[in-house]
Amino acid sequence: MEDFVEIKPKGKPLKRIYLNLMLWFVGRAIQASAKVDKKVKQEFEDLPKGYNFALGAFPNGPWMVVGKDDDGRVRYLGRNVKDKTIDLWMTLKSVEALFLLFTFQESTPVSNARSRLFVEGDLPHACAVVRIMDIVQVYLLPKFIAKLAIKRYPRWSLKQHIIGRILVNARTLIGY
Amino acid sequence: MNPASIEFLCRSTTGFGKIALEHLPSDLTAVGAQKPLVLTSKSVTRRKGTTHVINAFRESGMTLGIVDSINGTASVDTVGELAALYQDKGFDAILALGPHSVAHVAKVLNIAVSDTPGNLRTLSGNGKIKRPLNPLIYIPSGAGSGFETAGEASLDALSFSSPFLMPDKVVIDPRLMAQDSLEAVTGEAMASLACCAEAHGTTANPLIRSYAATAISLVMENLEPCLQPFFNPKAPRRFFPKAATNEKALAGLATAAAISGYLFSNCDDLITVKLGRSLAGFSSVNPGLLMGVLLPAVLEYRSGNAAGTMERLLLPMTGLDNYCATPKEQRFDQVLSILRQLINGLFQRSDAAIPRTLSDAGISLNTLEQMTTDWPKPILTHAHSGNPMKQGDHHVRA
Repeated sequence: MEDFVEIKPKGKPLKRIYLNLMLWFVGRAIQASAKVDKKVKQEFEDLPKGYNFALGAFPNGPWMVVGKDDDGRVRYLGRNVKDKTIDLWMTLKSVEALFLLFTFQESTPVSNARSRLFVEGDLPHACAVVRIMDIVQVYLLPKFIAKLAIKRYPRWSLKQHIIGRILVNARTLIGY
Repeated sequence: MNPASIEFLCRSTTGFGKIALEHLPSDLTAVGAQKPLVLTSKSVTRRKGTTHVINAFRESGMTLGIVDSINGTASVDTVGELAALYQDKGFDAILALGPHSVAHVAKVLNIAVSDTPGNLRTLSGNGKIKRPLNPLIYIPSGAGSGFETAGEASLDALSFSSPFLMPDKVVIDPRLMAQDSLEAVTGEAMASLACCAEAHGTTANPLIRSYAATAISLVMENLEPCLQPFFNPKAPRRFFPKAATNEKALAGLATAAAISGYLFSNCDDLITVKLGRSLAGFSSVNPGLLMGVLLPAVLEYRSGNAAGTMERLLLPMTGLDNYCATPKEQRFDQVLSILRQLINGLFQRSDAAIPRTLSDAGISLNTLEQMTTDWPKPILTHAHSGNPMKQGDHHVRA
């Protein structure tokens, strides 16, 4: 047939670089928040030991893997999903959907409502991860951006806002 | 009113909105497809519709095949060539991107390449296809006929009807919407409105009513914004000319058209649609416009039927406030009044390009006289002249 062409569409390198950076930062921020914030600590205590979850884009990532080891410590485990046992997969249907999430054009509940997010694993644990990410985003982002990223902006004390942010951001950069 | 039993089948998932196309790779993987064949037309390629689809598959790792030579002159031989290409290259799904001609070719191709016993001739007719076919996704790119998502297809002299012909998914992305001609856009809207209004008013099935009410609301909200470029054109900017800004309204109409396709497959007795298609053979007017002309007469004719309540049509057409403010006995009259004002307004603003009556559409009374053996005469007579069927205080019963 004359008008037939076969095409293998290429990738989106710039968006991939941006998303890798964001996921790296958020992963380390989750690790930091688990030591700073009481609610995040409590959420992780309710998860079983050795529990790993991954957030990323279908089909080939980028991915963020965070886990709780046998000692109960929360660690950012990198972006490689192949050599790990993942108990909870939170997958966005495309790199574009993940990009919408991490440029805060859509919050996680809106993304879920628009069928961009699917979960393989325990649903209560997925809800816990969403709550953790909401708290982390409040620590990382200024208020006018965080309000776009989460469902409801929390009422925290000034001390928690200032000191919590300093500690989470510093620990995120250091990686401790 | 609670019917004793109801049936409703909609095999299609509808995806609408921002980056709806980007869900395609994961949706195809979910049904086990890895290599889709895209059928489209040159007009869609010129408007860069194919580019959007290709971009949607970036990062997916999938290979696409694209054939963009499908048009209204496609035949069974075209399907034969496409089937050979599909099987030789190992495709496992079909994406139909474009108008109704592409949708029909895609459906017939899907019959030919799916593992169904028999050939196209033995499978033509009603209900001959008894098992699911290969994955088929329909992506509208502008005004269609309003029934691309129905479980029917026709090519040359062959016609097929089966619920398994309904697409597995319909993706409506505003980026793909393009402004067609006035007749095409209005025809699609009127076809959807006619199908859904008659379905809503003549059935007690709550599922059909829900879908129909949604489609009627979509048409009433989005028709006027879609027609603005025709009736109030703005001069294009000299520098950085802007593309059409009513993509969302066009996408709303496309959603209504998708719903009317689902309903057409679930309702056997839609006089407006069937009569409109029959009359299309006697006129050069878009069949959808003929359906719009017939709609008030058909609703009046069927208002005596106890199965439905026509007065409920006012709710999706005007909203809750107006529905509650209007006494029950006046609601059906207001429905007819709104429909007639809509049709007459279109006639006036389009300088008679859109017909008000069958006589405006060039169909003579003699032609209609010959059709009265198959179709109710009151509908034909009143639609020809535009006279309301109501006489005195009572509607004429069916």
